[in-house]
Amino acid sequence: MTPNADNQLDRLLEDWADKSAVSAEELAVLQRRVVERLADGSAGELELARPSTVSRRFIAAGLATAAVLLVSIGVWRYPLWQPTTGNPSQFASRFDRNDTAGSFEACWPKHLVHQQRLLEEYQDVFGHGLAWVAETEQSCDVGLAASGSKEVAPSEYVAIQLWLVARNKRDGQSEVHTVSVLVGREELVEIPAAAGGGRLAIWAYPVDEEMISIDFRYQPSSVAGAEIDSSNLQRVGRVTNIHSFERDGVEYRLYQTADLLDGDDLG
Amino acid sequence: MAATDEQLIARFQTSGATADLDELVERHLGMVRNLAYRVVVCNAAADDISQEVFVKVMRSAHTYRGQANFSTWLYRITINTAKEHLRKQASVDKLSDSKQATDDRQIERPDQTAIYGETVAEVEQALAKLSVKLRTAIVLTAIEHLSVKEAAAIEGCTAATMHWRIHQARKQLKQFLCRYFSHDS
Repeated sequence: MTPNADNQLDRLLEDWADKSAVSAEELAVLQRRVVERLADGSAGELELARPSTVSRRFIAAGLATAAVLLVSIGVWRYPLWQPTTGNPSQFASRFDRNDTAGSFEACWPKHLVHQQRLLEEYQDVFGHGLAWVAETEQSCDVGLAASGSKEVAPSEYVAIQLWLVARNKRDGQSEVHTVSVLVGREELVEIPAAAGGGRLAIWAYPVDEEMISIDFRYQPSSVAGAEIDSSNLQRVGRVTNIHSFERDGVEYRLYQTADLLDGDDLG
Repeated sequence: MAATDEQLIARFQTSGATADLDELVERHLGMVRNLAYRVVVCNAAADDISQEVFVKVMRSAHTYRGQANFSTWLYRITINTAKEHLRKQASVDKLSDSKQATDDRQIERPDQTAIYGETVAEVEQALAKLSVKLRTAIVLTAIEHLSVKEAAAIEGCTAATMHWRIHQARKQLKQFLCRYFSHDS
């Protein structure tokens, strides 16, 4: 789409906003209702300002903000979780199969259980300050919500996994990099050089219980100059080859899958 | 010279007299009502939300310390109250037949096409299809003309996340309203 399309959309939105705006008469009626409601005492008890005393709640909020500031430097390398049999490396032995997507798909339910445990563990430690978790073969990175952020308790997490697979005639097929990400819905997360695997910015929006809209920009560090931009609809639980490219005689394929994790159901 | 919003709220903080809020209601009710409508896309709900917003202003006036300007504070209360309403509505929908409830809301005003015209009605339907976060993002920036930074502060997210939501909202709206963009594709 061009900037023209953006201007056109803005005009449509402004036109809608103008035509759907409340009329002066309706507003006058509403204003009377609001003023009466405020005056009749049904709006609840008032709390007046106490001159120059700082409430305990205010101090507690300040301390909490300070604590969040201390830990929200961006990315933590917190060794809470050691990769186990459920981690992405379990897929390595399956790469020589012809049906790569099928083999990933077969392993995904087990890995999802692992992701749920991972989320549970980190939520125990960080509570609703947890913004995202990125797990690779070597490590697990955690992102905390920025201080002052209100959206620290995403009721629904999205589990996404990416597999970058390389193929060449001499060595056959091998896994280059695997990253699993747990993110709150509609939160943009930027993962800097996750465990040497590359930079990843990812955003996910569950369209319904079956489909998740996923946008990401991925720069795998192991493939010089490669940058993959993707915007796609992913069916829950299915593995899709979303991008293929060739570099120096090697064919690369990027596979993706995703599922919904309900943070509220955990623990 | 008329008192500023901040002066009016400060006066109410000390007096507790609701008459001190009347001027604020008069100044901002239109903005609150229109914003509420744009987030929930329902007239009856927007009226209820508007009342609730000023009740909240009254109840929580003592917490306002001028760290953000009054209108930003009011935007935040309005958005949060609208979201609260949608959450409650979603729970009710879950308990009843959710699809039926959603359909009922979409045909709340069967005569809206006659009142607004076809294009405006289509834009409204497209906006209603967006998630609340995406709709809020596009409303705050494209209609209320707030900066990305201000919208992010109101939503309590980073500017990057707000940029992304705006981008997504635009993308989805263009898909829903594709017939208006056929020449640009």
